[in-house]
Amino acid sequence: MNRLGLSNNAFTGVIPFQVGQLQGASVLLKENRFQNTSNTAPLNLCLEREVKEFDLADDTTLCPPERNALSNLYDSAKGAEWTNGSLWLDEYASYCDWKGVTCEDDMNHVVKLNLTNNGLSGRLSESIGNLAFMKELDLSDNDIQVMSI
Amino acid sequence: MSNHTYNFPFISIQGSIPLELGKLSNLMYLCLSYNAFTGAAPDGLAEMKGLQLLQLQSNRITKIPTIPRLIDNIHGQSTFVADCGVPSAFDEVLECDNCTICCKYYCNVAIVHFDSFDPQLLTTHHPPSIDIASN
Repeated sequence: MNRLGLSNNAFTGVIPFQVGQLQGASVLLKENRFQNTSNTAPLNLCLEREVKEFDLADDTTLCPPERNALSNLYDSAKGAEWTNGSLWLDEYASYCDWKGVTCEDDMNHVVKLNLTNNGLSGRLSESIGNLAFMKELDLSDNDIQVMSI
Repeated sequence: MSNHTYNFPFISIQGSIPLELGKLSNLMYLCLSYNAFTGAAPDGLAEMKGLQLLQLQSNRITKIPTIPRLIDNIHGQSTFVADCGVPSAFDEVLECDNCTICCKYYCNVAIVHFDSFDPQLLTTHHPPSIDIASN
C-alpha cells in the first residue's frame, strides 16, 4: 500500500499499530477525532520507521516529542542490549511507565531518567536535549561513549 | 528493534559529552560517572543554571568548564570530575598529563579556581581523601 487516506472522517479511539507497519506508505489521518482522547498514536507510526509519512507526526498529543526523544536515546544507546528495558518502545504504553522514566504527575513531562547500571553503551542521541523538563539524569555505571556530533 | 544494526566504529572514536545536554536548562542533577566519555566536557554545562550536582568521575574527561552554580555547593555531596578512566573501555593508556585526578572534597574546592586539575595540586593542597577508583 502506498497511501492510506482516511482524512476528514470521524475516526476516534486507538490507531491500530498495524497502520505503522505499512512499509513505505503515506498515512493520512488528519481531520478525525483521534485527539479527543488521551490515547497516543502507535510509536512506530509516530517515528515513521516503516511508513513513508504520517501526517500527524508533529501532533504533540498523538506523538509526544518526549517519547520520540526517549526512543532515539534507546536506539543510540543500544537499547536492545540493556539489562532492563521494560516497556521501552512499547507501541502504546505511556513513556512515563518505561523503565527508569519518571514524569511529572499531570503534564507527562519527563523530569527524571535513571538508567544507572543498565548496560547502556554507544552514544547519547542529540535529541536528549528535547527532554527540556528533566531535572535529574543518572546514566552512571554504563559504557556510554558519545560520538561527537 | 531486532532489525536495527549498530555498526559505529566505537573503538576508534573519541567520545565526548554532547553539546545537547546544555539545552537541559532545568537539570539539577547530572550523573554520568563510570562511563567511557573522553575529551573536554562541553562549555554548555556551564549554561545549566539549575545544576546542583554533577558527577563525572571515572571517565576520561580531561577538562570541564567552570560552573559558577556549583561553587556555592562546597559542602554538598557534589561534584565531579574526571580521572584516568575505565581502562577496559580503552585500548591505550591515557597519558597522565591529560588526566585529572580528584576526590569529591578536593573538587569542591578546586572547581572555584581551576578549569582543570593538576595532579601536582594534590600535594600542595592536602586534600582529605582521594578517589581514583576504577583504574
